[in-house]
Amino acid sequence: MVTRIGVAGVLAVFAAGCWLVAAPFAFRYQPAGAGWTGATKTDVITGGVLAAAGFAGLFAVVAGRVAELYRDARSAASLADMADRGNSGS
Amino acid sequence: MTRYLSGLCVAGLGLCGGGWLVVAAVAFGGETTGSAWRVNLLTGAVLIVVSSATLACWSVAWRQRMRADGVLADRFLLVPKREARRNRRALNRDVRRAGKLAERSTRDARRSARRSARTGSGGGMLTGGALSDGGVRSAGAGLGSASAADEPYRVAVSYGTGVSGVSSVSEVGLSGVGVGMAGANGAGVNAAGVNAADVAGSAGDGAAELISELRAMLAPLLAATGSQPVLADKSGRTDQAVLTDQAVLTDQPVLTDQAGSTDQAVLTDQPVLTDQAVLTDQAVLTDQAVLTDQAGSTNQAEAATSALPKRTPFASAARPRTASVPEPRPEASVRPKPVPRVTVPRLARPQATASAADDDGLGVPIDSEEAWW
Repeated sequence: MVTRIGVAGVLAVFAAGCWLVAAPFAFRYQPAGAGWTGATKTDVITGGVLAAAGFAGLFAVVAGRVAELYRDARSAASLADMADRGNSGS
Repeated sequence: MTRYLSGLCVAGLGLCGGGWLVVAAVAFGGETTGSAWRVNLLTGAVLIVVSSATLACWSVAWRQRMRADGVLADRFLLVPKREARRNRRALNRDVRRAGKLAERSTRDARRSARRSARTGSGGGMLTGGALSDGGVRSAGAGLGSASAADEPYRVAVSYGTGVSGVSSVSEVGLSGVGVGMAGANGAGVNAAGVNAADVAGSAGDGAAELISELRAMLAPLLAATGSQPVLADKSGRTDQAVLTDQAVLTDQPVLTDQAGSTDQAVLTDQPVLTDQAVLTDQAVLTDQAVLTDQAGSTNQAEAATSALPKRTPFASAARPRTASVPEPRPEASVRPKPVPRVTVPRLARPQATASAADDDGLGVPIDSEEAWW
């Protein structure tokens, strides 16, 4: 449950980054055809970093979970192998 | 571990980004009324909250995982001093109570052991006892005891079984009380029976009383060991033995292994003057059990047991000779007949010289015991 909340938080960070990148254009405080204002630059840069971090974090979380599943399966297989050897040896 | 670290890193980064958004919206001036300021402020605040929650969640998840893996140990809660003192008092009380219980149980055990020993000794008549397994194919029990030298009756009763099945008993007493009980064979191999007891000498009624007491004491003991003796008067197989100080009752059992065959105790009245009488094969009932002459008695004993197979060596063979009889005793007649009682003074008996090293562990050897052997 806690892990799920953490994953949701990472997703929220990613979503917040995406929102920050799109917010100046969505709210139109960045005029079209003009140079980017300071607020626009701050939001796009911060949003981009947060989105990239959120995406990387989400990827790392999923990858870590999958790696754990693989490791558990491997240890279970080795235990079963040892048990089979013990049974056959005895 | 990777996912926890990455989650923590993302949460930390989101916290930093939210804080930056808030700070950028407030600290760097700009428009405080435009939509950009409002978006940055709200996004920064939401990011701070969400990132804080994510950070906490990932931290908790990682700790749980480390505790489950055994990396982190459970915390010990601190106990207040008052509670610790209370626990200490309760523990001391429990320890004292357990000690008292143990002491009481020990006392009860000692008392019951003393009581059982008193019961086993027959109320003073039998001052010692030894239980032993006898016999090769059947279990038996032997109760041998002798009282102190100054007591009027010295009784040694043995009940056991041997290869041939019949065992017997001797009794030695100053007053000439003789109790002969040819032992029953247990386990149904051979017949069972208890030979009669005969009373001779000056004991008179006291001897009969003694016999009845002995029987009463032996009955539960034999019942406990599994062998149920049949009393002589019930079985009808009664060998009347006249126990005098010269008569030697030798039970010559018929060595048969077949079930159903009886061990007829042959009552020979010949004086077998040997101390090598194996109780499991022969029974020597004598009041003068110290009449031991190795050379002469062995011949007579061999003559008496020539028809029998060789006996197994017995511990008494290695026992030092304690006395000798200077002249052979007269042959007794075949039929048991009353022989005038010869009262042997107590001091006239040869003293036993067996040391503690020669003892077979059945107790301190005394005169009666040596004679009994």
